[in-house]
Amino acid sequence: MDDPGGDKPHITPPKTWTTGVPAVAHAMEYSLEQTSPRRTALTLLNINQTEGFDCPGCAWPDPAPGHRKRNEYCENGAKHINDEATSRRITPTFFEQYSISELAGKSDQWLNQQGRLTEPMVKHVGSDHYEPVTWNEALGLLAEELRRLDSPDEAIFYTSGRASNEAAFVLQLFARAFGTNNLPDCSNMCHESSGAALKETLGVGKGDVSLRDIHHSDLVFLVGQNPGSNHPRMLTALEQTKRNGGRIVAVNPLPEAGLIRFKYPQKARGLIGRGTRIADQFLHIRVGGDLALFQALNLLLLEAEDARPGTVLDHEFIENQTSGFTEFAAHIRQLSWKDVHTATGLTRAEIEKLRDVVLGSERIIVCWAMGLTQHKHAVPTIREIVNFLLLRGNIGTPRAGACPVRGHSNVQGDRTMGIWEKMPREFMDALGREFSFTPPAEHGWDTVDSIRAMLDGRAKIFLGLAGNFVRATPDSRITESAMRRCRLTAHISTKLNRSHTVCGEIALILPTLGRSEKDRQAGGEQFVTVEDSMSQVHASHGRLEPASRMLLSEVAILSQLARHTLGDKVDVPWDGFETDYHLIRQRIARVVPGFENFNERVVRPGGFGLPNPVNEGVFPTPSGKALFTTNEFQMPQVPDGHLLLQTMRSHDQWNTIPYTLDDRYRGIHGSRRIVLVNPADIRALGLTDGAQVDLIGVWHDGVERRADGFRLVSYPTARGCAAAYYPETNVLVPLDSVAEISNTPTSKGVVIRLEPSPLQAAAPRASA
Amino acid sequence: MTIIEKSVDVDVPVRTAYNQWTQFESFPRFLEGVERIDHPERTLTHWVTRVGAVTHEFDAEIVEQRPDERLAWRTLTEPRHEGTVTFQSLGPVRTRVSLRLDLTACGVVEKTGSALHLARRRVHRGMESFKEFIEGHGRETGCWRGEIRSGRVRPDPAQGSPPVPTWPTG
Repeated sequence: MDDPGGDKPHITPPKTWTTGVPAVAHAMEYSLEQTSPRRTALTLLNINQTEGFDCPGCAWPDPAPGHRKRNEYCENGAKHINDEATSRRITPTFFEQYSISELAGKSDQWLNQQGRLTEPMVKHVGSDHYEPVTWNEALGLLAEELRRLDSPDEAIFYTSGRASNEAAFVLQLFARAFGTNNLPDCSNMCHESSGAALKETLGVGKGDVSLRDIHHSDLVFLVGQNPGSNHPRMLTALEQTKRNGGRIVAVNPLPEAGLIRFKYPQKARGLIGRGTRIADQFLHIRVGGDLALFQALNLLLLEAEDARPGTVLDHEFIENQTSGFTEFAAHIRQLSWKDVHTATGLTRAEIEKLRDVVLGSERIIVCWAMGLTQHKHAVPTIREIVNFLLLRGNIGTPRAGACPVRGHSNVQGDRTMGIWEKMPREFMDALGREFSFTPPAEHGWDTVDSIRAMLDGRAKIFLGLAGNFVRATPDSRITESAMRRCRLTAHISTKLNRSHTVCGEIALILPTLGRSEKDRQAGGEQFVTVEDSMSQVHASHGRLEPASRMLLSEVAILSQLARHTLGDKVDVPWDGFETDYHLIRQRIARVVPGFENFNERVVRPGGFGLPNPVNEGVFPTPSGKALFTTNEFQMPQVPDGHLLLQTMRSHDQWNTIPYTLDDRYRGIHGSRRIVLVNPADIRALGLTDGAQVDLIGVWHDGVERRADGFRLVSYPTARGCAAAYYPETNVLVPLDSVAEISNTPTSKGVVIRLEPSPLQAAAPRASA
Repeated sequence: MTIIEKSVDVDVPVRTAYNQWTQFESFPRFLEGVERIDHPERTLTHWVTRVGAVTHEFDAEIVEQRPDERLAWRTLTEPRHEGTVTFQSLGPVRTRVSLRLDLTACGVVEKTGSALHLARRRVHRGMESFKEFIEGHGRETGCWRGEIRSGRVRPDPAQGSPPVPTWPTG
């Protein structure tokens, strides 16, 4: 196929509702472009079913067994699974035809559309082509290079959230048996801020609500998230909330269609009616203003309690099960409304209206996503949300709580399995006892620190388990330079992406089975397990024939690599692990708390839930109580004439991979080099709607970060803010611009200025 | 009248009678028309009931649970009702178990004479069946001795907190 040009953008008014018949039609259209009607039917009828496979699209939980629809997926899930089930294949001939340099000039979309990888490939030192290689040679080469390192800490083992629990457990075991804790993962760039804030304040780094809690809550906040495109099945749950009499408040810089109205295509009312209104109140907040909003809301609740003592706060809970309230309250009473208005762009009346909704609601849930987590002050913001929930006892009670909405399907499970550069002592001790070795004590590198280490030569080998590292990460030019300095880069992948074209001296492509495919091993057909965003652990059974007979499963690749690298240095039955995944789960059961009788429990329909101690009345914090925190007021500082950019994904995109150049809910068609700006800001900047502009990042290191050739689109985003798609704008996110504590890149708070572009056409390019 | 009440005296200690009421999954064994109860969270039960050919499913929140004293719940979906069961020790091996169902919030259909009559009959039979069940067994099939007050759980001191990963999830 030709690389899509993207030079003819067509702009239409943003939609005010999502899903309905068009979502079904678009899902089918894309699916049938990729594969046959039979395979499409096979994938769609098995996705998210108890005997089928878990949708790799997102981590939103499935309804309980017996309550799932025959079509338990969304438009984006259908596209994603059929993107994986595509009939297109990449063979060695493809790599003869295209040099790596040529592939590096192709767009993300074009690379993805070439189809499934089918054979292991190697790029030797000095070569510009991938060549076929046997599995034995490929893994032997990687093992040899690993053994030749001066220190195990010169290797990096990255995980993306598609990896199963079994693969993640084997990878972290291998890395630690090899001798390093360098286990960065995609969480570092997503919900790391949530985990940090929740662990500190509640003692557990996960959310505490279930799907039923959402259904029956009195009030659900949606903050900094776009469920219509990023986790559309959430809309079904929110519709249930509304039908049960609950209310919804949306807080976002963009009035996303999914926050306005939803048409459920599996019900007649969604096909022919007006659908369900989602947000009862929409707060059009400035990017990065959420800390100020929740501080203002908390101040109003304290004042409401002052006016009517004993009617607003949950005094018994605060007294008995929390600490830090007095300091928190004294601090919040100093809040300046002028600062709040500047930070949020909201009026006091709007926030007071929200307070009234809160006071009329007994049980409240706050959901959030990347709009909160990817800011410098992300952790304080989420801590302030916890303060808000604690004030009225909305933690540890049914139909209430904190709900970080995770994107990648097993991102939560991978962390549970030990994919983290600083796992706690008790986990490391259990791992060491189980396998009779001493895991390394020194903490490893997260994603940002891994890039720094590759950049300055401290890291020499990069192995990626799934994902598209160079496109998911910030500061694209710097990151690509870091990868190119490696001795060896290797990726365990299903499809081609830009990370395969940004190579170390030696590069390996290790093609693997997709989630939807049958996994046959010597011990018989295997299944894997995953953990969803609400801590439900369940099985996933592949149902399709593999894309190639040469593919190995993730577990097989990692087990064989471990055997090649470590031999019998540690007492781990790598062969057994590869043959029979039950054996891995037996070991997980002995290492990871909460996984007792894992094999028995996970085969029950729907699997099992990991209970959250918070819901049992236990806060595993040092004090044994939930913690009110005192968070200094912060807001992004934007000089005059500049804008605050949030990077975002389009509706037709899955993580770093665009499926088409369209983003139909926002009215964008045929281009991704688009920047959305409020019309008043366009006028104030002396620009015009439709102009070609360059985006220039502003950061204090003196480096010019430029994304060129963008079309300026007048759009109802909040004043002073802008929005543009990633990964195209990752080039603007400085590597050193990270969230406090969590070290997450601040991809939702990038200061930019706009310059008229000398480019007349907005041609796609991988990075500026 | 939309209140249904029924008491039975059972020949087991109050602890045994109370403990059995914490085992919601066992209710179909003595409650007619209850096909299944799931107990996914301490404070939440999901009921599947059957009347004739019609199956109803509803969620009920347990709002209060005090060992050897009282259990109270309210449904979160139709058919709306609230219920309490109290336990009064009448001696070392004798307990009065009293059930009260308030159907005030129910829909019109559930409040018709025949529907109420059916509900009352089932409640009465169910309580008699419970007596038969627990006296026949002589001991509870399980227990949870934690407390729930205003929907908030206080853990069973004997069991403590469940072992689960608590490290941050990114």
